[in-house]
Amino acid sequence: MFPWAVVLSLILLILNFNSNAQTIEDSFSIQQIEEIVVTGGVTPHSARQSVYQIRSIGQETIKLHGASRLQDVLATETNIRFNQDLATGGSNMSMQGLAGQNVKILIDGVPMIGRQGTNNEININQIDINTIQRVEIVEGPMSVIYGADALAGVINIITKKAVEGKYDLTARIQEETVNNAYGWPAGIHQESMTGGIAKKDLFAKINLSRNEFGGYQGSATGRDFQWHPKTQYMAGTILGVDKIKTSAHYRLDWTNENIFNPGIPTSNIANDQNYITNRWMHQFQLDHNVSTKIKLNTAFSFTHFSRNVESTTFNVTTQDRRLSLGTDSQDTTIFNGFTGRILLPIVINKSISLLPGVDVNIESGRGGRIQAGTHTIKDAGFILSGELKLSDKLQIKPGLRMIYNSVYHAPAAIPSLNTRWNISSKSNIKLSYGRGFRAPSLRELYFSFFDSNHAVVGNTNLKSELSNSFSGSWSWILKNSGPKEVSLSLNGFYNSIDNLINFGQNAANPLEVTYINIDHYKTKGLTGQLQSKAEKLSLNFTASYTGRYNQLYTEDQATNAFVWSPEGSLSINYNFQKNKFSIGLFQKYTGKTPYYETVLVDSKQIIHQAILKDYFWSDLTLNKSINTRLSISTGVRNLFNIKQVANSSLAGNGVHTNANSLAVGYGRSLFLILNYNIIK
Amino acid sequence: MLLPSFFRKNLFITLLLTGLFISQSCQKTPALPDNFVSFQTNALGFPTTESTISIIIAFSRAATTAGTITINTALVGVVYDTQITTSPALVSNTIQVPVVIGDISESITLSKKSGALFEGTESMKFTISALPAEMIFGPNLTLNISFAQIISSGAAETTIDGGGANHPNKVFIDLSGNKMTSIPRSDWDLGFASGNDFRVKLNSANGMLALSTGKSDMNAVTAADTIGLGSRFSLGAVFNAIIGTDVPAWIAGTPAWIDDPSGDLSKTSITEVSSTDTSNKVYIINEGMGIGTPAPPLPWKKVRILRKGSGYVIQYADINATTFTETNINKDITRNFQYMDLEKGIVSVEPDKEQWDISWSGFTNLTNLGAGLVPYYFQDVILQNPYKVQTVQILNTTKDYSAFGESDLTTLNFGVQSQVNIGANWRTGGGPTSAPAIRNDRYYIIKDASNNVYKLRFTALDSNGERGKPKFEYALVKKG
Repeated sequence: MFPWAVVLSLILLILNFNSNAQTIEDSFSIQQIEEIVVTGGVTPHSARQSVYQIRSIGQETIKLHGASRLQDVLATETNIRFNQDLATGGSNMSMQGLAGQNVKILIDGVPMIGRQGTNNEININQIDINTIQRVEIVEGPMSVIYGADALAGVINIITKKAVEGKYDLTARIQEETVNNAYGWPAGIHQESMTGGIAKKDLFAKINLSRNEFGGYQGSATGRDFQWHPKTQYMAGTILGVDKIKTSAHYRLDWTNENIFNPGIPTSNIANDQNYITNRWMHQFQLDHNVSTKIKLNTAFSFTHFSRNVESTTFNVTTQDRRLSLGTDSQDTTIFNGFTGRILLPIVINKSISLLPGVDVNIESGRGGRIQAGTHTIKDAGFILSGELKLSDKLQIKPGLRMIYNSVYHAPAAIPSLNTRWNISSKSNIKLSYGRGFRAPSLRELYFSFFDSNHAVVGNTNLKSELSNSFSGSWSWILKNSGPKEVSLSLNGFYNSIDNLINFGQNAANPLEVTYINIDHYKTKGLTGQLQSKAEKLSLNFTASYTGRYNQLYTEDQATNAFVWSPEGSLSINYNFQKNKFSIGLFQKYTGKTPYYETVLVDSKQIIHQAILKDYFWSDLTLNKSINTRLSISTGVRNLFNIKQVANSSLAGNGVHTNANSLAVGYGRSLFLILNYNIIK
Repeated sequence: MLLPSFFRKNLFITLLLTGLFISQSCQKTPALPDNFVSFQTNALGFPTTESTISIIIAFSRAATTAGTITINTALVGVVYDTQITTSPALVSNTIQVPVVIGDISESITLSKKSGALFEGTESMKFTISALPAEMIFGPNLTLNISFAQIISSGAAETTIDGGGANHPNKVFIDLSGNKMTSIPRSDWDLGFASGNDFRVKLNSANGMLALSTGKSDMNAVTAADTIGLGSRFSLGAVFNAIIGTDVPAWIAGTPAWIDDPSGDLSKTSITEVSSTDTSNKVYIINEGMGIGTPAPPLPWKKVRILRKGSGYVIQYADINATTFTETNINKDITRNFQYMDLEKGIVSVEPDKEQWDISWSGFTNLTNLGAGLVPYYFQDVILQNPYKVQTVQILNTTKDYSAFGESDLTTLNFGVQSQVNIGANWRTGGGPTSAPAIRNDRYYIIKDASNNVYKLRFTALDSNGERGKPKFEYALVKKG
């Protein structure tokens, strides 16, 4: 039934019996007291000492999630939400109540390219989960350092590195049901392999992964699926050199994703579609210590991203598949992106350091639904940031980015100010202000879609969306003795966005719809977190309350200016150290989400408050290390069997809306993971 | 050894897995559809009324390589070069038809020599005998041409050449004659009734609209008469208005901008052309959408139509013009309408009224989208010939298509006739998550002007996944 699983299990068993390797410490028993982060800084530093509010999701947590994709890990984090785009098979993400287009995704600090989908976002599920060491999440804008689109925040994916002085090989297979569906090709089948070597000054790493999602039929009938089936192939390699003064590496990642959208046959012929994505990402990073006080950090990347819509006719009787003819039935949209960043951190003295730098981004796109020709956006930023230690307790990090852009109206300069005040060795306060901006996307600038009922064009006169963001946090270590630590933190944020881009009528031609800077949007929220870490038991309880601005408030002051939605999460990890057995429980409550909509009732436009229902998401994983090399995990994802979340919208009968619910999950699933790891 | 022992030891497994990975991850692009070559029909009549006919060799998709199609011919009672000629020429019993890359059909023109006489018993048989490499023999490889009017017994699969997804063509279909006439839908603007009526219809396939100015002097109508119309007087503006905030009051007047969808000549947008000249007002015409992606908006014009003898005279100009052009239009009793293009003048569009039964094109219908009836453009609309053609829809649950025969006609009631009797009822409209599709549960009985009765059902909405090329099959139920 599942040849891959059988083949790999056999290989693993053979390898295991032949092994006589030295014992190495199980990574599960290593407790990191301090969270080490790199986002927003030059060198790894502790999250607590950073001026940014950074959440770090480490290897143990990722492992305990039994995740087959990054979404499985992030879905139980507060202030991050996902729902499935059933039409395209993509997943929509939002952060701090802002859509995924405002979240910047970085791999080892280098931005990913190839935004797509209704929310114009990076699909985080196109990253091989097996290469991820940890995920750092920064809420609030980091536009000074990372440029456009880091308005809601940044997700920096830190990849695994080769183990110093050793060879390593990991093979992993994951078998998972999709609700009750399992078989071939139903369910999830994932196989992956990584290998690494680090000898003398050189290191290399390679990864291969295949991920098959058999789709979820749900309420669909016949050949149709509610969640489209999907196959992903991912491969990557790193080659590098690491010397005392200089380190450099080249990294190549390839992702191929094929989403299959079958049609319902009429007279034996079905019109099927495949959405095929290919991403080639080349990265080159070089760090050099010029002197003890001056460093050089450089990162360059080139990404080739293509999304191909392949329409075919399929004869269900003869199984003959042929390309569909006709305009727009075959389309390839291509994005090429270059990023280059050079930073020159300078330590002037104990209390002052400077961080000047340049950041260049060039992106070009062509293909279907983009106006004819290749369109290029060139963007350059000059960064000047500094760090002032006014005393042992007070640290200030002001920053400024000057921006040049070839197409859209970018702000000339954006500032940021981050401060950290250590009240005591156990307690600190961080306050930040940042100006963020989201650049109009190539689609918003150059869109072109015409048929008998649509006339939508891009607008090259768009300005960037601009935000003012304020955030503050207070964190306090209640108890800290040996491996035991109990801490409490409180965070608050306020984002106000101007020039929000939305659809509007083209002033020059009222029959055309275009993009205009019209809206104003705000979000604000409070988050409280209680964390307890000990040798065996780790607990993390988070509660948040997020308010999103009601854009119809200006039309009708009788409505509420903000609509509020609560969230809560609880994660429990227990490590029975003796049996090398651990258990992880992740729970998240997403509260009722109200919003206002305008609907046509009896030819009259009314403002109506709709409510998206609340739901519980819960994942449970059991992990057992059989020996130093082989570990096995099993668990239940989506324990409460959540599928569609009901919505009290009245807009369901309109011309372009169809569903009164949001697809959040496909129901309860079971998984089994075998992980084999040798380090020599 | 270059490879460290660790990898050497596991080399086989590493290579095996890598090989498996690579072999699995390579995806093949499916092939283009087979390109079937067929005569468009298997029988054609070449009656005395016609001096040339076109024989269409249809491809199921555009040709991707050049070459030659060989047609074998057999002539019975006709002599080549004395009575008839062909283009390309017939040489030693074969015709070599060149295939041009990109073409979706090629044709042979068959002409009668002037002065040649025929008895009506002569015939010719054409057979497709050789094809270029990339092409495949299709279902209709032989064509019988009779030198007389024929009554077709039907055809298994007939593709309507609507031109593609943006429905650029209007296609007239003659069931008994096995003929389809395809013309670009923007070839004409106005149709002038030929019978006793003095009525003018708009080109509904282009989404054309007309609005009376109330003035009867062409030169008194200027751009000032169009103020405010820019954001109203088009199908797109009407649609935007009803999905936007409060539906404006002017929407209620929009149905009068188009001819009644039924085809009832007493309900045209332009009122009856009066014998009293001053009663004939100047109309502002939005010519609708042209052919292309995006569909180019066609210009606005002003027109005024008067009677002249037994025919019409039309005055027309650009909105701002201070002079206008006049063209006389005579009625032609062999046709339902005389057609005119405001740039090109009188044009030939519709075949003789006895020579077609149904047509396929886009159509401006009246639809309720939640704010009352408004003009709304539909694709894939079948209109019937107002001249003597009658149609009725039958559900398979009433009588299965294959079982329907001559005996069922005695109890058949054609009922009330309207040009949109078939309309778009043969397909579903689709929606945000579902594609339009044909309805398999129904078929149509069509009685032509000569009382031949056919049954017809649609078998596909598209060809090779391309919209705008629907397919149907039909069969003779009773000869007239």
